[in-house]
Amino acid sequence: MKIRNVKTIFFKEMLETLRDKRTLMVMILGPVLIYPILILAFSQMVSMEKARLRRYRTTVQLYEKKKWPDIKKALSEDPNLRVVETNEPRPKDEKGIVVEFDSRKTKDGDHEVPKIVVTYRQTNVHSERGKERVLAALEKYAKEVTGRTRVHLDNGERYVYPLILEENDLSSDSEQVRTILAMSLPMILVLMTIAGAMYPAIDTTAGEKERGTIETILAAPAGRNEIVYGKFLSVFVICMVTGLLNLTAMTLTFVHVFRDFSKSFLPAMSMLLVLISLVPLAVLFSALMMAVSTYARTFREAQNYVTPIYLLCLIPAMFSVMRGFELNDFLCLVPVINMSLFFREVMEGVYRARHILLVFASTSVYAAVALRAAVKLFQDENALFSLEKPFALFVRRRFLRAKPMPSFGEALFACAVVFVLYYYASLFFATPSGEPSSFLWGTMLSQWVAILLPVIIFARYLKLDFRQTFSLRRFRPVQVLATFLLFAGGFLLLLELAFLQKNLFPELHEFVDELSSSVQMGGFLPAVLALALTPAICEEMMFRGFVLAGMNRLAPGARILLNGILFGLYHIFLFKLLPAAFLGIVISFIVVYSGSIFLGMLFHLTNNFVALAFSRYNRESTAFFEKIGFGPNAARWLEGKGHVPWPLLVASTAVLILGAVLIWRLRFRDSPAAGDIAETASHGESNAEEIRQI
Amino acid sequence: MTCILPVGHRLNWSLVAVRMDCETTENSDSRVVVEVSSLRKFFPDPKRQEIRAVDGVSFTCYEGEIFGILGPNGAGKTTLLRMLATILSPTSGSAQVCGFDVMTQPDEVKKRIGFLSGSTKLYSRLTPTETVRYFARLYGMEKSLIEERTHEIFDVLGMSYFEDRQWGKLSTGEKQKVSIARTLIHDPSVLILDEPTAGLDVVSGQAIIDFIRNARELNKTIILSTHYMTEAEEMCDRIGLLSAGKLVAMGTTEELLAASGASSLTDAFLHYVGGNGN
Repeated sequence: MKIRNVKTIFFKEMLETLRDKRTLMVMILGPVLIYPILILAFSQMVSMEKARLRRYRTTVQLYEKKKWPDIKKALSEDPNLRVVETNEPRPKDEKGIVVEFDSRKTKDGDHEVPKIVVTYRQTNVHSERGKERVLAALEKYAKEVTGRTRVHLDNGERYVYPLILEENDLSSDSEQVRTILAMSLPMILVLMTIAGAMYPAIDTTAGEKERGTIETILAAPAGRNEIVYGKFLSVFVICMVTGLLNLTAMTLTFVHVFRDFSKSFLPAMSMLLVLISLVPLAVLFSALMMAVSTYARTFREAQNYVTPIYLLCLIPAMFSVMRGFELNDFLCLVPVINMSLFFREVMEGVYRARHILLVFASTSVYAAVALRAAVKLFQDENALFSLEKPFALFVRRRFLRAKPMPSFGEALFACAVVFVLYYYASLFFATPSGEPSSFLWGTMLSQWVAILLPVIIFARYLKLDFRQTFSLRRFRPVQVLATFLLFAGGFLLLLELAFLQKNLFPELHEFVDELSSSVQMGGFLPAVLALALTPAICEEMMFRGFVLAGMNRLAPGARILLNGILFGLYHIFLFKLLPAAFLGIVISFIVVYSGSIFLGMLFHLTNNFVALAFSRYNRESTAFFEKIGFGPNAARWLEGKGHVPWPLLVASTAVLILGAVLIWRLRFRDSPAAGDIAETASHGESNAEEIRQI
Repeated sequence: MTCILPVGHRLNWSLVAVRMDCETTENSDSRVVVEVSSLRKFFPDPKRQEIRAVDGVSFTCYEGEIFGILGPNGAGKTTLLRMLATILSPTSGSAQVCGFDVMTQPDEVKKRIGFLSGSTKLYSRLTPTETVRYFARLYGMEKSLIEERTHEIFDVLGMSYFEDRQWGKLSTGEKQKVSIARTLIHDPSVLILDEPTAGLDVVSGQAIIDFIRNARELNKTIILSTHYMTEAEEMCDRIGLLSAGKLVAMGTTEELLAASGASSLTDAFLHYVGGNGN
């Protein structure tokens, strides 16, 4: 065996493997991206659930056969327990709890200790939470009492547990089984149904391309719409059959194993509702997965696109397990979460017409959008024939040709890399629990090193035109005015949005408190440098520079929206999602139509500066707002504790529109949004060989 | 419907009589079947803004003619033929097949052409019968006609013994026959063949050549792309030389030789295409 040959082959294999996008995705981006996303999402889900559970108030009925005054006081200490007196041993409703006080003699007969029976219903989350609160209160009380009461026995001193506690769960076995199943089955059903669409969707699109049959069918007299709808129907049917078989097998197994309980669980009505709502879910995922796989050249490539979508569905599907979440009007609109929670509700035997309608309607709308996207993509030659190569990595720079802007794939790649780098950099440099000033400096460092630097390096590597990629263009003074108008108009809307959002996704108190304390204690100037100036430069260069340029093939509206959403997602925390996306959309609008990133930076800087100033000079600014006539309630909504009055919102919107119109009127004529097709091809060398091979 | 069964050279090739004659408009030359004028196709390219795959190509094909498009790899042959087959839409210019425009009446065009290329593969999990029926239905043919023609074509091509085996399990030659059957099922008046013999062995390649010759005998118009000189020289009535998206010369073999002063088609080809072929 010649070592030399082994070495030669090894290096060739490594080079070839590293040039394969799929390997890179699976090997590097997959793990480093998936874990932060999953862990962040899970931890936020759990803390959101906790926050929701914390809010539950339970009515506790006291049934005092014997009076133990201290105990009643101990219970009342918990603000989430509403204590009322009763002489009923059973709770009034499903949510209720009865705490029955009695007494019993100790074994030696010398002492009388309280005997307490807590009657509750384990299957009801309110009742169950209430019970835990009652137990916690009683435990605390018991500890206090133990500290005081000592009982002398023969062998010296010994503590005696000062009360006897009994739990009485009213829920039957069948009810408990039902609750557990209603929590776990929806998740499985949703995920299995989605999985059912995966392979047929890939096979009928990317699979056809790989097998070379797509051209054959395109040459036959069938419209592209007809082809897509035909294919879609087959994927949908398979997806539905998968869902149906899962549901049937689930039911049959259940009936077989829990023969005694089967009547109480999964009545025909529930099954029917679940089945009907599987329809829009199947349409949504069949169309979505087809649309995504149409982009891919091969089956394996499509798998690499579809698998992350599936993994991301895992989180919303898990909502059925989180008992703190119950279906509400808003959650009815969130895809996958709505199905997961709706199935649970229905399986628990609760039918609410409003929820049925909302879940069905919203999912149908998403499904229609996804289907339309699939049809459009199939009509797009570039997608269908995979003409555009997303990006070339591990290619020596000297083999790359200079080009004005990055491709869409390169922009997304940069997004993923920066997200990962910034996430790990801020873990390393800027932990909120550290010193306030070190947090600020760490944040600054992370932004410069993990956002700006990689973007600049990547742009240099790809030989991009910096002026075009980063929109480094001059602006007019009137445009500055327009930017300030947009900021002024957006400000109150942003406050309102943040307030609305808070109701849906509670803030993570730990995070907010630490952040504000570091702003207070780290000094105002460092805070402005780290949290206003730095992001205004680094994040703008990244999002309104590189990423926006990479989207230049999209229509301006889609570009602005997508950029905003990416900007929102980049902010990691769900409670920042909507406000950040809103800001992202406004700034993208400015940069797309003014052609100047500096205006975007100005907006970003102003926004963050004002937010910091507000948190630093809270009282003064509130007083200022009250003084200029925003009413005595200004403090409430300025601190995000109430709605912004609607006349102010209307006025704000008007100002915002004024600014937008101004930017639009003065729009940059040669902006990338208008298309850079006018620019002539500088290289005559034909690339048709690539095109020939689909 | 009458059936003509001419005896082929090596295989019993035959084609069914032309049923669907070209519906050309009265005032135009009745023999013109395909008319291409200033056809262009530019592809967007993120790195270089655009690729000019086909750049202003014009030519005319007449009934019963074999028109060869000769060009090196990457000259734009496939893109040109794909536009004629309505698979790609032109950036500018126009193309008409049997008087129908590829842009505005693609379905009418599709009904009149049979398109065969190296990348028109078939479904590996379907049998030849299922495959041919599938396409016949898309062409809007009646059930009885489908049966009849399938039977005929399978008979003529000698496909009956493997008609119920899945396509994926067939040999290369058998696969090629199914593709031919698929191309002919709707009896097209124009055949667009993109490098039909590429990658085939001598026997299968010859089968294709026989098929093309017989098609001409039935007065079909054939547009053929190839980079085999002998194939072009032997079969084509007229040849167009395509280089970097442009038609650099056009005429019969003799005309091309005379114009370039070369002694063989290969030399003529090199004369026109030269070193800038790629």
